[in-house]
Amino acid sequence: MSGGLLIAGFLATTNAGRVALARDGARPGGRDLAAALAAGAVLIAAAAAAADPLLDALDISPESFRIGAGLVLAVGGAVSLIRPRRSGPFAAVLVTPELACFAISAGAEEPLPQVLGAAALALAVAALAALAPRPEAIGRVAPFLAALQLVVGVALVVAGVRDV
Amino acid sequence: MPAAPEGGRAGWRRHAPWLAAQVALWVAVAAILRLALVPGESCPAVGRAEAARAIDAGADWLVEGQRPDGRFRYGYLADEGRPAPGYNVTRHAGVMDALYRVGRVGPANAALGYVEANLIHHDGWTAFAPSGEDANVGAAALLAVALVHRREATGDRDHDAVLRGLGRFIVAQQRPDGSILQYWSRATGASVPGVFGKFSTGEAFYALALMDRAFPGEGWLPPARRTADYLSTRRDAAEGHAFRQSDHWAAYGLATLAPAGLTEAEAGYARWLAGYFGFLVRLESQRVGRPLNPFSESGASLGTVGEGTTALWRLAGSDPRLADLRDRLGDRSACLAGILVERQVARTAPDPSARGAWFADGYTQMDDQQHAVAALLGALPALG
Repeated sequence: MSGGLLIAGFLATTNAGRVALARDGARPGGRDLAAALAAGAVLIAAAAAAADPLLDALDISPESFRIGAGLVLAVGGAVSLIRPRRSGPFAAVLVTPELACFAISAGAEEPLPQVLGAAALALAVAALAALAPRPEAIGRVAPFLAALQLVVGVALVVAGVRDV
Repeated sequence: MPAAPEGGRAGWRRHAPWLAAQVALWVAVAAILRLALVPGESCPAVGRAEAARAIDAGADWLVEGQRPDGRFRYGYLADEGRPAPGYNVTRHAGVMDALYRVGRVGPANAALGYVEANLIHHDGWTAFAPSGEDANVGAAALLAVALVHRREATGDRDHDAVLRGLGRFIVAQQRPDGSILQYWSRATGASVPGVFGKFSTGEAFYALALMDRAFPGEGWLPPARRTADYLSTRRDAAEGHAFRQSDHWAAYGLATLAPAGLTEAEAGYARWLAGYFGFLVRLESQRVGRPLNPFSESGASLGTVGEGTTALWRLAGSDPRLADLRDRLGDRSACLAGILVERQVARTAPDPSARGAWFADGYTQMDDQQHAVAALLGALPALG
């Protein structure tokens, strides 16, 4: 997985535009903002750190899991394209199957510091989106990041099929 | 009316339906991933001794069905308990090669008797085709491969003239772009234009690469390279394939050509083939032991995947550009060897004509054993 794909994958699956739209709808307080970022960070760190033992326990090679993760990202991206605004509590806005799958796939293939570095960058962007004064404007990028997620998903599937 | 700020138990209670939907979503995603998209990969454990016994049993099936004229039993229908009719000289040559490689020189030499009775000599070259059939490059190429392996196994040089004649036939069928015309017609006395085989081009490349190994400096390397370049860069578009073709013979050829050094295009092609075969092994391992497995792969199908994987595993050990693939190709080779051993009919099976064979839908034929045996032979060094 290239560094570019790693960053693109986390930017797409954390989708700062969707975070801004959620904030616009839910009017979260400071604690909710912190809780959302913490939930996203914990999900990523746990998934990436547990990737190797988890896939070993399930008898799945990282290359094969990449195909499954890619399909989850592609479907999730397509759904977000149609319906970028999600219901539910703001604190859980980043807790999605696609973020978990991407973090597992990345964690199984790349060194943990590299994965966490790319994820931190994406979470920082999401935090900025959550704190922006005009969230509805930031929310307009949500479909584009959903499209990026779909593209990253397809790229993961292709890479998973082509890898040994 | 603006939405109320979030927070507190009341806020979460308000989201109870959402929470239930989320739990259902996560469970559904996990279940779909596990059951449909990414089932567990199961690789039956196998050691060298067990794989060697499976090779012996597969070779026994071939040898026990050999007829007095040197031909082999072509196929066998287990449900009906009867042999299947038909014959194919390319497969005859392929089985001969497998037997030379596993050290069954006597039966392979008997098969060579059938070959010698069906050689065509024309315009300085030699081909292998029974009367009434056009000369097929695939048959000539696999015969050349078998004779090189015979030469290496026995040290006997008696068939070098035939071998060189076969090489000249392959070169005569080669076009300037490296493509290989599959047939030479007895009726017209000329190559059949515009017909290319799915596997015969790779078989020709492998034969030429082996010819260079057997007779270094005799000029076999340039035509081998020409076809290698064609396979690596142009074959699929030129022959109208929508998708890049898998080719275990090309994998053998690339591994054989490695000491002379591969070009970047050839190394890239080897990497693509490694990915293709690796994916197929993973896919097959996901179907091991699954009760609802609707597919049944033949010994030839599994064997060719194993042959390609093991050939590229050897190549990855000698070409530093592919070194990063070596361990995974070794794992895939061992995995497929385990699957092959598990799916072989046991020596203790009640039907003696089925013992040692690999069946799909109740049918086996000579190339099922040829490819499965060759795959296991290639995997032996990768097994613990």
